[in-house]
Amino acid sequence: MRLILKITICMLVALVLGIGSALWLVKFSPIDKSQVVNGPWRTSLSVGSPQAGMYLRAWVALNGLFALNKTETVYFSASTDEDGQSLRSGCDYRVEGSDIAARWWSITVYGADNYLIPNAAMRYAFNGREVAKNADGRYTISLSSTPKPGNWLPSGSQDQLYLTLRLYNPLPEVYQKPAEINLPRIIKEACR
Amino acid sequence: MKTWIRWIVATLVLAVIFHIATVMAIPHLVMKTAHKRILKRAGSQVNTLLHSPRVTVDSRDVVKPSPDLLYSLCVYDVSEKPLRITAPVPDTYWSLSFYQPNTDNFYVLNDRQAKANPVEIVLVGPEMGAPNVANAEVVVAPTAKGIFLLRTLIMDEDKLEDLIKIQKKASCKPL
Repeated sequence: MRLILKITICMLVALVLGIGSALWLVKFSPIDKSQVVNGPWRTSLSVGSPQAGMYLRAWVALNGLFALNKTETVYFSASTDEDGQSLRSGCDYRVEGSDIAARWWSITVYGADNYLIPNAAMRYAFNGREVAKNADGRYTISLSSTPKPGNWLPSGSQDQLYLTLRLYNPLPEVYQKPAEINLPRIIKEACR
Repeated sequence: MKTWIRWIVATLVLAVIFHIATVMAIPHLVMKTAHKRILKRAGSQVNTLLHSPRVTVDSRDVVKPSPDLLYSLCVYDVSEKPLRITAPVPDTYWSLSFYQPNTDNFYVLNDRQAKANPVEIVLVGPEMGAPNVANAEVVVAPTAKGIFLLRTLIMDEDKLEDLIKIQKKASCKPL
């Protein structure tokens, strides 16, 4: 009787430890998934390749299923501003930069559930062709829950925001020097 | 004292096994869910290309859906017959890609790499010999089941209607 009890406890503890640590690592740990850091942006260039390790593969399955390899698309994601504070709807942000080295690029905002954020303007993203630019080619996108003049990217009411920067057919410098290329800055303005 | 340590070691070893099994199972579980969701949609069945309308705020099939793209999906099973894919190439970024059940992308072709228009591909199962087909590229699938995805980038909103027309001409059917 005591043996059965011991085995049961042993199994239960192992289940909780094993599955719990697996889910925790895949969801929260920086292992594998953030091999490259560029300001607030993170990417892993082994996304979509068969060389991906088991943790990265699991992470991609949960966070970006059907990702393509680096010559097709490079995905950068940001969950914080450039000071490392989590992005949330309670604050306004300026996303500013210049053109990015790719055939085509876009910046999309997602809510805490990883889906698009409902808004009356039906605006979920800006791409390099449509974003309004200054004479010097630079642009500023206002990530805010309230309407802003110019490039307004509505952020709804979310505890956590995620930005995804997609580069389609990036130039080789993007995947050769991903930590050094110029990516948009994410600057916090006012919070409510 | 000794048996006490033995129990702890056994628990830890088991925990490691459960840990690895969980991490390895996640892609398969996610992919299975994706299969089911795709096949649940109207007009959807195995070895048929389903043309999704443009992503909206209600899209829940994949996490972080891209509003830039038009997707067409085909849940395939080439255990019995090869699959023939025909897809016209639009004047924008466009790619076709194949995924194994563990989520690995084993083949991808984009508009700049396409040598013919429309592109013709014959997907064969892992143990099948190459079929005798003219004017088509033969791709060997590492596993009989998987997902084929066609992406069309909406570079310019004004061209959306034309891109949808071209998207809808693509097909996947058993050979």
